[in-house]
Amino acid sequence: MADEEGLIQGLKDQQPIALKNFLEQYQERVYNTALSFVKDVSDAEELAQDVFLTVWNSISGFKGESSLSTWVYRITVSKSLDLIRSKQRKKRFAFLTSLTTIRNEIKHHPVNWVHPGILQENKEKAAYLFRAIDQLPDNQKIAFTLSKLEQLSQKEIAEVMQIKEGAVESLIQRAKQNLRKYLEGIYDEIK
Amino acid sequence: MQSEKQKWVEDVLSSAEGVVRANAPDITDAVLSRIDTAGQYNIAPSSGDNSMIWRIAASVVFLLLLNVVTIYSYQSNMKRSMQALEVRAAASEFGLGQNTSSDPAAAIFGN
Repeated sequence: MADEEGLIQGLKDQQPIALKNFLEQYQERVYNTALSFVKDVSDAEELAQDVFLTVWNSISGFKGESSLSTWVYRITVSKSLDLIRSKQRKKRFAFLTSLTTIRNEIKHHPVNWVHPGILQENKEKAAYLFRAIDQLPDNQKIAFTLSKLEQLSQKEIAEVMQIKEGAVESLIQRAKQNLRKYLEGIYDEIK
Repeated sequence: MQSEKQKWVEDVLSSAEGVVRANAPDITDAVLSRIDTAGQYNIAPSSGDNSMIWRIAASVVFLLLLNVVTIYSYQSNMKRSMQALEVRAAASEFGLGQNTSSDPAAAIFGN
């Protein structure tokens, strides 16, 4: 805790060494969280940089009401969802423009992405899981991803999402129900 | 007893178990280079942000000019179309352009 307070103060004082320590401690966490949401290595890298810049620029306003890690997760999740929405808008636009082109080509392709941290024997099935996760509403997506992929506790997730712990459990249960529904649909497609 | 579909669904759901963190690329240098290091770490916009403002202003001016050109071109076309309609209306009033007779003189001067 004392370490975290020292780090926060160092960042507020704009000390370069504090920034480097902060990057060392958090970049893996931030990158992996971003990767779980945006499903693209270069997007995750770019997003991680944006998160650190935001923290650097906003640290003077950090009141310490939550832990530093909770605040960083919150920024990461928020920026990840913004990027996903922005990509979905571009995809829709690309689809519309593809309707007006004479050539009959698809401008966007379905994603069969798998988190690099998934065990080798599970990769094929995990690809379907990630397809299904994509279809979840945002709140369920956040709760499920932070729980299963980032392995945060429900208490930590509740702090990140600024909701009650009971609400987190409810979101995860609903996410699983919806995932089962989507996966049954995918099973019917492939079999 | 679980059906094959249900078993498959549960297998897929549990495929994320035991996931490990992927190795993060070292972005320290990238982050530092994006922060203004000219003597101080500050939040003030860098010269790059000023050029953004100029680019936005230039885009706005360009769009305004495009609008003006489009409106002018539309008005010119409308004017030409109206003039053509007026000529046609005037010509039909005098029986011109209808060509009801094979006699060109009759077509111009009537019967």
